[in-house]
Amino acid sequence: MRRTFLALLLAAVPVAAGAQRDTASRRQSLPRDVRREIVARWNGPAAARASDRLEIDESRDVPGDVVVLNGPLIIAGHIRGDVLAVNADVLIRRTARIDGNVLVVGGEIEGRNTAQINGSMRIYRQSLAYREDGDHIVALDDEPEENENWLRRLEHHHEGNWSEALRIVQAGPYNRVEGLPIQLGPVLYRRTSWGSVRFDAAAVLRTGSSFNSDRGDVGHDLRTEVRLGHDRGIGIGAEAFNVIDPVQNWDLSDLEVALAAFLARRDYRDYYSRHGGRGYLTLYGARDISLTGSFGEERWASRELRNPFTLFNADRSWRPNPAVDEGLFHVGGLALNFDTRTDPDDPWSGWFVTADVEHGRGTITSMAPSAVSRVTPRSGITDYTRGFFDVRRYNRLGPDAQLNVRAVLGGWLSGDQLPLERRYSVDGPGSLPGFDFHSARSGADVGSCDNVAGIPGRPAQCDRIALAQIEYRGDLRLNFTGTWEDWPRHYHSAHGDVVWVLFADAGRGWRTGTPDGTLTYGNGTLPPLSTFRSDIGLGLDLGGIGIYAAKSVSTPAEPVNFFVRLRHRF
Amino acid sequence: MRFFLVLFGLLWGAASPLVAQGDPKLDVAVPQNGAVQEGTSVTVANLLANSKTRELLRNGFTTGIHFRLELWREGRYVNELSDRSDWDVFVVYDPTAKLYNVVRRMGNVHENFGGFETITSAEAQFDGPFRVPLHPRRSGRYYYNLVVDVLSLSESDLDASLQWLRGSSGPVKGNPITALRSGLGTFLSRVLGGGKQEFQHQSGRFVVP
Repeated sequence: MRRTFLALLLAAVPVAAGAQRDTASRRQSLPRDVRREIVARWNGPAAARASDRLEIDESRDVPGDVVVLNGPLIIAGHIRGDVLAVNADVLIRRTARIDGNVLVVGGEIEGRNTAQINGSMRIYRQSLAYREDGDHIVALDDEPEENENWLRRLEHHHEGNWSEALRIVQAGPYNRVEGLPIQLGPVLYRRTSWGSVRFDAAAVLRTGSSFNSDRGDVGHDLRTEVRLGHDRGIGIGAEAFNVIDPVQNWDLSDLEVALAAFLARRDYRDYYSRHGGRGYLTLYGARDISLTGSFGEERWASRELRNPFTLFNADRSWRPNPAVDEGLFHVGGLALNFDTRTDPDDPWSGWFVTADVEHGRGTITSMAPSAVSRVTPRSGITDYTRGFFDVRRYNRLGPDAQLNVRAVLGGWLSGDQLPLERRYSVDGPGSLPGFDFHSARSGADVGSCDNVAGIPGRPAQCDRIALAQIEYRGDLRLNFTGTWEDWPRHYHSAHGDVVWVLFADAGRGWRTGTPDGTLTYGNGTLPPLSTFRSDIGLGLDLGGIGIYAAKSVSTPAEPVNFFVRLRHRF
Repeated sequence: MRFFLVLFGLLWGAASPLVAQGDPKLDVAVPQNGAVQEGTSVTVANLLANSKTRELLRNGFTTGIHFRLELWREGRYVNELSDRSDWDVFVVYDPTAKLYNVVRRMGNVHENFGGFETITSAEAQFDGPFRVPLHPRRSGRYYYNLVVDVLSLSESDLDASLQWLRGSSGPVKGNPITALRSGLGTFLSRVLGGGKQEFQHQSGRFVVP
């Protein structure tokens, strides 16, 4: 309790952030390369030229470039070339049409939103300092040697060729079998006339590692992708990997899983190792949709529990990481994503659809213990197909209210029984928060499909799952964050920072096979809705942090669960 | 339960009021007198007032400000996104010239405001009313929603990693509680916003006959 109080006390101490005001102002001169461009274009050929006011009226059709010094330039007609305005304001009327590019220095443009301008438009507020030499102009050399290198770096960063000798990125969330996984290695990107090539090579280091490669502690991830086309086209890639992956990751975000593990010693996922390679082909470029097909060979193995550092609850034990079916599999997959959300982090409207189908064929060399009665196929080859479908619809009911719904279906589609690492479960704060995650329960557990006590870690064992979620979000018109400058999300105007959330969830998992009326149902049968777990809840979203309470409806004996989410629930 | 108390305490504490240099302000003008086809104009203020943003800017991290203006149409049951427009402002400090360069980019329109000696004068270049050609195309009841993300950009992901590792404030000085508080604020900002700050504003409603 003393530690709790101390943490609260420390956190509540305000900080005086030094305020610094600066008021001086001086506008930088025109970049040197722009000065050169202007001089060359003014001194070059032009279809229309003026050193003072020039008006292109509506009926006029200029067959080439228009260059103006001092101006103003008024355009109402058609210009087939480029426009250059030096130290001049430009007025573009609704009837104007410009086929080329527009460059304005030392002036403003009025009406650019209403006319038809087919090329690009560059506007420099700085004036050009020059002297006249007959019909020509000469830029004054006493200007500072400024250039636009910084701007080019900004504009073209990661658009042209680039490489990094040592790229350091986090390879996944903090977890109980790796600690913090980090990727280190070079990255190379080359842009060509027909597309691009990218190559990533990384070693995967883990803070929970003994750095003994014989035990598979040091992984790798090598990836290359060739893209045919720039803005849209086909990507062909190959990948060789030795990584740790979660059995399922659809319910909570990586960030939430990592923080729960690091802070509270609670890991909401189970993990297994994947060692192999795959090739893939992806269609990219469409604004809202992507489609990827892949095929590979990989060896799956269990991953033993480590004991990484946690901030709290160091005296508690981690939940064991369940064993998985070990073996070598050929895996083919097809994944479709459709996303029209207004904002992935704070969606107010739109669709989000994920659908993928996976076919696996291989040999299980070591079968993990499970509550499921499983038999090895007579041929020794396990051949399965599974699918996963997640559809969400976000509806804005008004400026301050929304109603969102989600449906998730996943599991076995055909073939032999699913390997343990290809099964699902549905409970805990990411799906049915009224029910504790993988907690001990008597009898059949329709969340994880477990009916045998004692399997370490209580792995997901369902062949199929179904989940429906609905939530209403309404504005409380409270300005919670106010002027707290570190808070990442602020709402202004009538919409407050605090949103109240009312939600309900229903779902369950089941096995397929000979019906037993509790956990197992026939292939084409959906369990009765009365057997589904359900909960309702209420929460507050404080500018991005959600604090919720959920109560089971289908099992009233379950206590109220309190939980925190750092993203929308879905 | 104790964990949630502690977490909430940390989050609450991290959000305790700081001495801000000015509350960021956003405004979207509602079309007047039926001048709907003109679109609207957006005015902002104090987007660079955050002390950490300023410090990062002074230390060479480009500040990127992404504007997203949405036009919503009220329907019988749900509101629909009628249209949207995006643009960016970049503020870059040039240490050799000791100037803050300001650029605005909207589609293929590229505006260079030049370099300025102070952050305040640099911000003044894009604070003023900015006309956005986003307007209704049919009758109905509409409103605008403006979303502004302020993000400290790095030259590469490696820089971002180093930025994370070394923090934005450099060596810790003074009161360790202050340092902890400041660190929590930074941590919270990174965790929830990926190192960005988001501001939203809604206009009043207007009717297109």
